[in-house]
Amino acid sequence: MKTFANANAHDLQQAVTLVQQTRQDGRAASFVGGGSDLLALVKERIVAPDVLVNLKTIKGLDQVTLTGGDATGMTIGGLITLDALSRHPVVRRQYAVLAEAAETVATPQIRNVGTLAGNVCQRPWCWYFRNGFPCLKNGGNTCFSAAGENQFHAIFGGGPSHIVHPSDTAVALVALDARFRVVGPTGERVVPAAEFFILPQQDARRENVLGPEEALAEIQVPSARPGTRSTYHKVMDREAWTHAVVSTAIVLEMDKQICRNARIVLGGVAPIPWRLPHVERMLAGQRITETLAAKAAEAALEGAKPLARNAYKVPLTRGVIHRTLLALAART
Amino acid sequence: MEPRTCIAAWDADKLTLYTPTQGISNCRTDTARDLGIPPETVHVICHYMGGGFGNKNQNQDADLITAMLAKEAGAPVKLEFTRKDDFIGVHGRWPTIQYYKVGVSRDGTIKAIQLRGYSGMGPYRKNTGAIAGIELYQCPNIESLVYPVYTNKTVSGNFRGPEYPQGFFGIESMMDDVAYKLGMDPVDFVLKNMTRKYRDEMPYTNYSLDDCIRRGAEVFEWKKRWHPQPGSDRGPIKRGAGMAFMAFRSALGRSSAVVRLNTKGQYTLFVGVTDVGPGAKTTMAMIAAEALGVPLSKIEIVSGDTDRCPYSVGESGSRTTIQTGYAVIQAAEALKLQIAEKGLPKGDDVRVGSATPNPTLEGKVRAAFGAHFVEVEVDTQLGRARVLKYLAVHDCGRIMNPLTATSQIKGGATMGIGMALHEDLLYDRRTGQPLTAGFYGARLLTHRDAPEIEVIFIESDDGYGPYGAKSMGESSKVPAVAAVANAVFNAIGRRMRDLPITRDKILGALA
Ligand SMILES: Cc1cc2nc3c(=O)[nH]c(=O)nc-3n(C[C@H](O)[C@H](O)[C@H](O)COP(=O)(O)OP(=O)(O)OC[C@H]3O[C@@H](n4cnc5c(N)ncnc54)[C@H](O)[C@@H]3O)c2cc1C
Repeated sequence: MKTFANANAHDLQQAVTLVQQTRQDGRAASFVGGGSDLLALVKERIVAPDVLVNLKTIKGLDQVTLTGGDATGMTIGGLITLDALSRHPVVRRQYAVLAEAAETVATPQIRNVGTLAGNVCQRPWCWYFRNGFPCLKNGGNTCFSAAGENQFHAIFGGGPSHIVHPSDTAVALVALDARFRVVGPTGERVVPAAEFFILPQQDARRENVLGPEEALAEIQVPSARPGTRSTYHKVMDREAWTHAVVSTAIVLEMDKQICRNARIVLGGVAPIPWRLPHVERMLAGQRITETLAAKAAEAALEGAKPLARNAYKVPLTRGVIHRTLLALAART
Repeated sequence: MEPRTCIAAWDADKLTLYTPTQGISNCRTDTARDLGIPPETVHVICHYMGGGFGNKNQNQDADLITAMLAKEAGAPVKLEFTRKDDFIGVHGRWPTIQYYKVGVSRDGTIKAIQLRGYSGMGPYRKNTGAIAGIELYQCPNIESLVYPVYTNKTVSGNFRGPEYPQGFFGIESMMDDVAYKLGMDPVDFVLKNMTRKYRDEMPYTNYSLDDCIRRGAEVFEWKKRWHPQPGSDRGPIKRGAGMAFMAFRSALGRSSAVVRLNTKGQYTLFVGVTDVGPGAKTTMAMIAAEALGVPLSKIEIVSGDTDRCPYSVGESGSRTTIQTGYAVIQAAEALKLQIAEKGLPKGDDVRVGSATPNPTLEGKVRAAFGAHFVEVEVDTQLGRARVLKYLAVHDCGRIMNPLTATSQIKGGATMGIGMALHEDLLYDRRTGQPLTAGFYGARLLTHRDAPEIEVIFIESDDGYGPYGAKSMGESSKVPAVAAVANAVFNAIGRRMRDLPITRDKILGALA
């Protein structure tokens, strides 16, 4: 393992400036939250930063702030731990999908140290990338999964890289129409969740719009409209301590039996959280019956392009959407 | 669980190794042989270790490397593998490809079995690559051809029942198939065809397979849970039941023990055992207490040190209790004889009893027997197989310590479930690089994945071994894989021939 220096940041502006200066000196720098992902990558020599800029020492970035009373949205500091997020009473009540997603991550130990920003910005868990193959994500020019072992890879949006986005919370955040506040050396910007994540076609080296000197500061979630209910369903190959094979985040705005508005996002199937606007449109203004749920699940898989070893994800995803949608609609 | 580690220190020509090992004596002889030095100059110490499971009985490579580095450095050296090193650099179970042909008469009697098998041994040969299981069936015509082959994968060696769980998965899947084809209940088919004499010739020292299977079927409520028509549950979530049985070597052999009594009435037991997890030190002390007729608190134990303890056969092959345990009884008897002849020790005196017995079986075969019954639930839409109910019935002879014995069975069954449904060291086909080295990637079971496992012991005493105790540690994994796989077949009506039976394969088979 390469040695590195640790720099404790006391505010975000200082943190990004530090990263910028380090890079100008020709050295590599990384932001670090809980370090549960970054340190593993350092140990495996996937990344080799000279300086780790520790964001956990920044005060106040681990809070949930309700903007203007209980029901008009909230701002979540990027440094909140996944455990604190999943236990937060307002999050549990109004944004169940996010609390549930955070709760399914890895293990209690990782949720105790892992931060929301770190979870959203974690690097892919593709075994080629993590084992140091010279793949696109590691600076090379091939995706080894394309003609290799691609059991867990993308069935949507793949190419030239076929990774799936690993974050559970990201899927929920896209379903909540969240907005990400990003701070860089020259200022800040707010990016809608759906635009934060980028496909490999756009840039195969990274998974989101963040430049190397930009940090994810906080996440704004709009208020939940009346009648909103939401849930996160994650399919795993064991009961804990592993990423989603397939997952779905569903948010429904219900007016008695009628679905006014639906948002459906898939995890584990694409290089980004995979939103299904055409399926959402099918559901708007409808009563969600068994038949409609089946139709929606069928439509969701239109255009799927499985690789040699992951065709099972097609029926699996169909089953997950069908069941989760019905169960959520039937909830009273 | 503990990855390989070792500390080596040289003092002039004397080498001391602190290492987790399943056999201090073997470690000493192998290391001395490889370094070309006399065995007496190697001192191996292992007081505590984090598990063995076979990969610490045949792998003195790490010790050897550390010893050589320490020599080179002129200073003590510590070597520590990471989990990934451990997955790649230490042997695992050999993968196999098995082809069976079975001839059976209309009444369900097996007439002939043929196996052609291939075992992947890795780049060099560390073990036989045998495939066990055919000997489970009584059959006049058996042909077994097994080819160990070199591969570009991690080397293969001993791992909890080295040639058994994978071999039993093959043959018991095959026989399960045969039973269905005949329209027979697999339990009846097994009862009709299972071994009654070892390879049809040699008698067992005791025989309890009937009991294990009948008792298991009754307690499990086999008739209620098993579906005569596989895959016949309606709806997407289907249940099914499967069973498999086993007979597993329980040989006797040489090992040593020394017991000393001082004037304070304190007994000290010297045995070369290391504790790979099953509680060997406690068991040895319990056996000594029983043999000496004194409370356990009177026994102090010195173990895991080649310079202080006598020879030990090694904590592998499920033989610690039967072999070293038997030596403990003999040493205790020797001590009692001394006391009878010379009286209790006085002043600074001590009395010492020692023994190195090498008992034999006189033309018989000693085996532990067992049968596992499993109910699974398969979600045919999400491709998930889950164990709902698990019953393991075992005859391991006399049960010395019910708590540790039950844990051995539960642990082995749990590992078997992992092998059946979860664990895999996957390789990239083009580069030969392992992709899933580590607990995360190889998908080891977590506590949450381990079902409740019910254990029933059918105790026996065949007159051999320490108070009739037979082998145990490995045998609990042996039928587990086949039992789970057979239950999956009963649930979905598709024979899953490729381990592990994961979601992609289940959904693929049902597509
Ligand atoms: C065994 C295991 C199982 C796991 N299972 C799951 C799972 O089921 N679901 C899931 O979602 N995740 C899973 N993870 C990933 C885990 O959730 C992440 O490691 C964790 O959330 C990362 O948070 P962290 O604060 O420790 O991030 P860090 O390790 O500190 O950082 C992760 C990455 O994000 C960057 N980063 C961190 N903070 C910021 C910021 N504010 N702005 C910009 N970049 C930043 C870092 O530079 C680094 O590249 C698993 C991890 C492990 C080790």
